[in-house]
Amino acid sequence: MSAATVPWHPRRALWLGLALMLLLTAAPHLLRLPLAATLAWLLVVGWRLNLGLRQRPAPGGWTRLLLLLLATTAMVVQFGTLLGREAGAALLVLLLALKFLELRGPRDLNLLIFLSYFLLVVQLLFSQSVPTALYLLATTLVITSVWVAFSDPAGSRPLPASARLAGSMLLQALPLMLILFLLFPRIPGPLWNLPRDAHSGVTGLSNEMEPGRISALAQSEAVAFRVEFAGEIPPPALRYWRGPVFEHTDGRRWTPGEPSREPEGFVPLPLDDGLVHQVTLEPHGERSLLALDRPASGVPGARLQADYQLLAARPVRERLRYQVTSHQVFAAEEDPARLARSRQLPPGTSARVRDLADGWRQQATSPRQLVGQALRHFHEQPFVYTLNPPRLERDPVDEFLFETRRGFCEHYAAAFTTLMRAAGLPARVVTGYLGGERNPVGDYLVVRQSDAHAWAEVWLEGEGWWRVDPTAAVAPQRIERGIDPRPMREGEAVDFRLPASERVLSGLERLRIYQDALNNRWNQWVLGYGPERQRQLLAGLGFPDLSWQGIARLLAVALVLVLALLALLILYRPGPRPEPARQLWDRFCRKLARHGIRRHGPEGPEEFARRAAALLPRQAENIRAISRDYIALRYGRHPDAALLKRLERGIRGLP
Amino acid sequence: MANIVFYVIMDPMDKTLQAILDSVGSIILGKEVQIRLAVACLLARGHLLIEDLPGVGKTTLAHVLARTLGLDYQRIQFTSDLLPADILGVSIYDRAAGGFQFHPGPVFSQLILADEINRATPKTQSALLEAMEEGQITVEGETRKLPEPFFVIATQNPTFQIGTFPLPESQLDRFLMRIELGYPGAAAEREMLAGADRRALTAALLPVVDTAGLRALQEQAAAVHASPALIDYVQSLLEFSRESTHYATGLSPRAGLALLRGARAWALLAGRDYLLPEDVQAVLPGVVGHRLQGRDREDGDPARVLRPLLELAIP
Repeated sequence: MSAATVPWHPRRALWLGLALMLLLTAAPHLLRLPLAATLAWLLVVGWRLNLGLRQRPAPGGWTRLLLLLLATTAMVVQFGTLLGREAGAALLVLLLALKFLELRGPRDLNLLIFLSYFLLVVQLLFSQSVPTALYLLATTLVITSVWVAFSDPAGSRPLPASARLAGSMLLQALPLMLILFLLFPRIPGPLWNLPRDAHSGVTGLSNEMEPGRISALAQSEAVAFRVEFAGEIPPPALRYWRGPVFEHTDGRRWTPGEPSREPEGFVPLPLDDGLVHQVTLEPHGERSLLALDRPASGVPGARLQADYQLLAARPVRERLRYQVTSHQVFAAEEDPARLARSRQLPPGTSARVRDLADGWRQQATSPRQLVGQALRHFHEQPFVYTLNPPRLERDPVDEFLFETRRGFCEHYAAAFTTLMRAAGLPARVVTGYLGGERNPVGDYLVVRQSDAHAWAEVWLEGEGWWRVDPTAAVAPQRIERGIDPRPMREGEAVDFRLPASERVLSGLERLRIYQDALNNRWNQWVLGYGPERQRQLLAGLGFPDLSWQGIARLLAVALVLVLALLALLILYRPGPRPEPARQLWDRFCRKLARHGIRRHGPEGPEEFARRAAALLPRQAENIRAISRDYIALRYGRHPDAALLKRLERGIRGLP
Repeated sequence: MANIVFYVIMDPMDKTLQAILDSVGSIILGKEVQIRLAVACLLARGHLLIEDLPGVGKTTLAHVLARTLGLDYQRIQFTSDLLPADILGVSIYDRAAGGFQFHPGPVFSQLILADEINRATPKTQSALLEAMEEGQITVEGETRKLPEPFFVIATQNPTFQIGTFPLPESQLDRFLMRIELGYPGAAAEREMLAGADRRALTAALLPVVDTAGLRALQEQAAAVHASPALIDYVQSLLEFSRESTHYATGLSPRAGLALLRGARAWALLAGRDYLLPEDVQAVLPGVVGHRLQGRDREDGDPARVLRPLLELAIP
């Protein structure tokens, strides 16, 4: 290799800049790696940096091969594979350090630079938040600066100057970036499949329910979805967000039951005006689309089931934005088969449960009264609402109702539904979210995982499905307030949080509100910039209904235009403004040109004045004075600012 | 534009300079511009190359300059058998003194007329050109300083004549200016033909200035002010010569310095202590003409080669 024969010793500052660049590039990945791997990484980079600063060569080939084998083995042991998102990124990070270790010339350096750019992009597989974007932009500037600094043939361009140059290059790239972002044809769905482990971290309601599921979810502060309303935001008591609906139970687990046999198009019959709202759903890996209880309009690409559950065609793996209309009152019609399924009881239902329900049925004169009696039972008996209920072993409903009496919403919903069925009323469990906090900055609702909830629906003949929340009987505050999802002792009662509007906000909380508003905009306009948004934008620009080929053509034209504009700006960059004396002289020349005396480009001031004076004898004296002043100003030994005024006066005095 | 060079012929403030110009002009008739260029060249401590046909007054000009400036003068006629020792001098064994005695050659004079320099072999040419560059010569291991001031006025026949060794470009560069005399105008020629013998007139000339006075004038010329605006102009000329497609190669930084030096002396002759673009334009053909090659090498007409440069607008 030629690099071996020509010693390559960059300056100290360049070595340090390069190491900083590597650290910044790898930092987000390093934070995810096991501590030992991070330490090893830092050790390798520090080693090479130390050698470089002392102008020593890179370590030999055998050492590097050994390190590579070690690193790869450690990776395989840690991840079990070299493929996939986590393992792939980790491998790239380690290779970055090893490439740095064998750095011996410009060729390796270029590779290192490109690898750094690539690693930056890889970070987007893990996070696409605003801080990540800012961090990546800043690191892009650092990488480009280092690249520029190393590209200087003399190797002497100082780092700040390189950073300035890199900054101006990135600024020139900015219009291209915007055009590519806005006009690159957006195709519904992802362009490529992410590695399977890319969605492992997402949380959300699952499509079955058993005791402990929702309470585990409720301890997360992560955002589940955000909602914007066209008009007024509904009051807290109506903020029930419908998710999976469960009709079948084996006593412990609740499942959707038989797949709905309704014909494809279930047509709901809403009886009120409805509330239009827009939901931006965070990916949760399931198909259910959350909406205000109960949704009635279809969402493109999704299906409204007969249990009023919105289901997407595919599991939601990317942030999804949709508009939906919800109603409170529906016509009281239901498929008898569904009603029959909604009376199903698991075979092992205990006698105590059946007896309790039978007792109520005999006393009650109407289904409504029956429901009231059940709720009174929960209210009057010593039930506790807790995030950390005791484990239920054998028969969860029986144990919960008669022994532990401590549970979270899913316990109450499951027990209540079982009791209603035992009393002969069709009932089902609905899971979703309850509440949501209004963000005063962006005027939208934020619903977090900690708002996850479960409630029941009871079929009342002639009235339809009636939402009953047994949790409200135990902890009425839950309806109006969110819970405080701090870790709790087993069986400890839940603390409630005042809504933000009634609380004295700390600075941090206030900051969080702004941050969420920013995140929302970012999600809507940057991450959520999909085919629909692009269509709107293009329609606004006067290109309605463009096919993706049309958009591609538009993109090409826009790129060519911007590049041409940049090229023109660079080619015809206006020179520095001429100095004031020269501007006045030009004015003088323009004045004389009106008299037919044109100065030739190479004609010096003295010669021109002589010629002009001869051609314009009446002004000869003025012309001589003007040229004398101009010459003194521009060519004289001591240009005097006072002369400038006199020159201006003289030229103004000329006809 | 009939004439693209705007010669600003103004009288010098300095009486001595005026006297020099008058004195030379009284013998060489009708050649004000060439005389001024020649004097400017000497004031700028440069060597002068005069290129023209025989008999137009090259030798007379050199002779008159020497007389007027009070310099001791030697003429070396270059021939193809001239050897370096003929110019520089030789050491001869002196029996009486019992050692070698150096006999200085004609180069040890303040003003040398190197007549028909392109008739000598390159070896001899380079002996003189080295002396011009260094201001000293080395003979038999001993370095000897040349007198101060030291001027060389070389004449050269047009290169198309038979039996010439054209000076290479690197050696042409040693001359600050190259001028052509040309035929005299009708009136001047008539006066010359009718007047007294030029040689006798030259012999009768009295020096106008002594060595100290000449040195003072040279220092004055070097101190002429070049403003940033003027430097801009010179730079734009250099840049143009390098970027334009008219020229085989651009002007060197040394050519730029020579241009300023010549222009300074020209400005002094025009009675100014600062430079104008006109000064640069006036000396430009003399200073640049022999340093710039048209892209089309056949194009021997210096005026045509220089025209694009002189048409460049003043910034």
